[in-house]
Amino acid sequence: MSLLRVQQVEHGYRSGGLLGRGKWLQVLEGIDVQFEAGQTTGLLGSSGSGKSTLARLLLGLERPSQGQVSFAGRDVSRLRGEAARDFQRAVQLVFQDAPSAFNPQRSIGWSIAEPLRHLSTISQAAQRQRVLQLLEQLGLSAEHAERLPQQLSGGQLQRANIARALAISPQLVVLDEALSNLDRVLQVQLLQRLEQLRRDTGTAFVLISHDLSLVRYFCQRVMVLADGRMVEDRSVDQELSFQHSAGQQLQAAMLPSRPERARSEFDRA
Amino acid sequence: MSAFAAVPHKPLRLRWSLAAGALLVSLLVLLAVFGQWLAPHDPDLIDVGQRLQPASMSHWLGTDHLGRDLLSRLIVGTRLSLGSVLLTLSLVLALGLLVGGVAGFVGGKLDLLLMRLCDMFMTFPTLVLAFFFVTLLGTGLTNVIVAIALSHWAWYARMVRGLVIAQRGREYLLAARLAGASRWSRLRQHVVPNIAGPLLVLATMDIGHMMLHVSGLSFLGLGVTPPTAEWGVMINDAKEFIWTHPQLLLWPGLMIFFSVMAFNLLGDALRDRLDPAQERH
Amino acid sequence: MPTPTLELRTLSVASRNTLLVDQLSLQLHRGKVCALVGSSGSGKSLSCLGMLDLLPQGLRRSGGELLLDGVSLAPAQVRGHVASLVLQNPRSAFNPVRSMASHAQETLKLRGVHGADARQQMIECLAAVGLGDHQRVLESFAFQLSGGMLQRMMIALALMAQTPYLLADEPTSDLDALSQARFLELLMELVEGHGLGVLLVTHDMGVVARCADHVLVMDAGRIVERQDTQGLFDAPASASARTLLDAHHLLTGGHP
Repeated sequence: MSLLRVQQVEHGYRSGGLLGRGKWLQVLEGIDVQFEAGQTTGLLGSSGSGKSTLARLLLGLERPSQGQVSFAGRDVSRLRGEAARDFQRAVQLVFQDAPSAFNPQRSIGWSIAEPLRHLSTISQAAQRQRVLQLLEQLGLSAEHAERLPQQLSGGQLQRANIARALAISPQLVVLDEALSNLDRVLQVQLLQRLEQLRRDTGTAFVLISHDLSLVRYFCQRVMVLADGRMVEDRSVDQELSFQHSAGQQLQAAMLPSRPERARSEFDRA
Repeated sequence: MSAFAAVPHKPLRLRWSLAAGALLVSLLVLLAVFGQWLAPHDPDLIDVGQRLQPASMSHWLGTDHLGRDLLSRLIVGTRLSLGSVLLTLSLVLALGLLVGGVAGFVGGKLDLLLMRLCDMFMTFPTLVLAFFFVTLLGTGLTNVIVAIALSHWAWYARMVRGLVIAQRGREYLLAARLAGASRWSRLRQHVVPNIAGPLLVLATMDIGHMMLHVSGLSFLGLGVTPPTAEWGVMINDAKEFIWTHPQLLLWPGLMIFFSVMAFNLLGDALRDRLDPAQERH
Repeated sequence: MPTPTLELRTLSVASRNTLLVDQLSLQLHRGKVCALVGSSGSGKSLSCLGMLDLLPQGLRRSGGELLLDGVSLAPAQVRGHVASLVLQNPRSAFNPVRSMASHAQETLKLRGVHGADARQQMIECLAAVGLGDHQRVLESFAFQLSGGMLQRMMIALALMAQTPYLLADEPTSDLDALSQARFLELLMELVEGHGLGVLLVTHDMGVVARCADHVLVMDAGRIVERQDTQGLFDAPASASARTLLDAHHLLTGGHP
């Protein structure tokens, strides 16, 4: 069952000119994909490939210049009222920059519970339970709920960010370069927890990243985005080899697993 | 309401400016509220036989040109001087928040319209407006308050609008939107708390400025008029005695000075305290 | 003739009540890359900044004698003359209201190079780092250039300063995969071609595998392991190194 359908989507911006019309900047062209329930999909591309724009379109934050993104048969950018809330209950987003994704005046627990307050009818006590459960699931402790964003490290904030997106138990979570600013150890830990979550609850994930190693580790399917076009769409298996140069470039850019520097004897410090 | 404390309790770190400012302001508020009972004499009691007396045991600061006890008049005057300023500030903040908040958050044509309205009001200097209202409606504290409020609200509206616009691009607002929060919720729960700090600081530091307006206009005879006890009026009354009995001007002047300083100290300290960039662990 | 070295002896960095870096000593050699690895909070960035006495406010530095080929130097003499610095967030290292040319001129002026000579060296250094469109780059301001280009500009400035050593603090953490690959390639060219001696602070064992000759593993402000790269990958002795390598192997090999 496909959760999100992207049909013939094109998108661009008119760059501002002071007098008259500015230049048209095409960001996405001819995107036509489906995201299935319970699947992990990687959206791979380097900067400038249009991946963040696609993320915004998937969440209905912007309306594509052409084509549409639909959820349950309806255009996500035109949803209002209860239909919009239904969509928000089903699809959530994790931002790349954790510190700016939290209101600096509110405690972490308050922010994580926000989707529950607006999108569910559970009691305050139940909300609290859910937040504590989420914190534990992501490796944070209960006391973090009472803290302010400034009091948490970058890694902890990103966990809280993910916790918030998972609060309402969505069917699909889009991670927009959400792991890019974290160190490798934390990246692996989070991906493992998300994989566990997927196995337990069937949540689908879309991992938007420039890092093929993360996509290869976590995703079942990978789509390569280059210059606004979807240039490859294939499943992830042991021997991952790309046909298109964009994918190949990203593969070549991956760091080696073993040391490369051939060297002779030299002194230790 | 929420299952979690919306704003966790931050330990209040006493710095000398916050302590001093808070102390002085509390003192002033105390005087304003309980002044009439704290005053040793009736501030309006005229006793020409006792006029222009120097400081003595019964009159700690002496008497004015009509024999009224200076200290009592100063104490009782606090209520008017402070009260009128706080009233003006409330009016200004209310109008400013409403207009600026809506303009900043909604944007578009409404924003343009409201900003042109602001521009109109910003062109009126306080004095001109005050004169206008006095000519129209006569002298009196109410008219002075209205005049000051009308000439200041637009500036606050612009400040608020600027603060709101700065918040609009923040990702946590987007996160709130995705969490299903309505526009009104976002404005109320996210934008307002984040602009309240800077706004409060601005307002506190502006109190001094407004106080000078109120007293100044009273001094010019446009606001409070004699025989009412108010610091600006007292300075006006005493201007003929500036060379012979300078203390008649000195004491009310000092009261104004200390009040302005108190609020400025408080504003300074509040700004330091509320600035999240200066978070100390 | 002993290999030229830049040595740091017993650097300590403390905040008001915690010791963040504990008596750190290391040696950099020309033409070799020394990686300083550890997880977040291990004190590696502070070590890098502390080495050149560029710590943020509120932190105390003690010890940290610097020796160039055995001769003691003050940090101020080392900064910009012996060692250049490349930071994680390149944008913060540039003055937003001055052009790249202005930054370059300032760097060259410190060496006493002006005018046409300066211009020539600017072009050469920009070309060396792959910023061939030198006209456009020199006229640009920081906000007009991407993160990757700014990182390369920092290296270009280091080249202009002609410092034999480079301290790089997580230089690729904010870059995307392609920019990272290009940057590291450039770095290795300079190490192998120009004999640049590099201290590379990183949390990514992939970067270590790609670049490092020698690895120092840091945990809670202390060095817990010193090994050459091959030895570390074959047999990590410290728990920190094992944790980092485990994550690394998972991401470069298997599936969850």
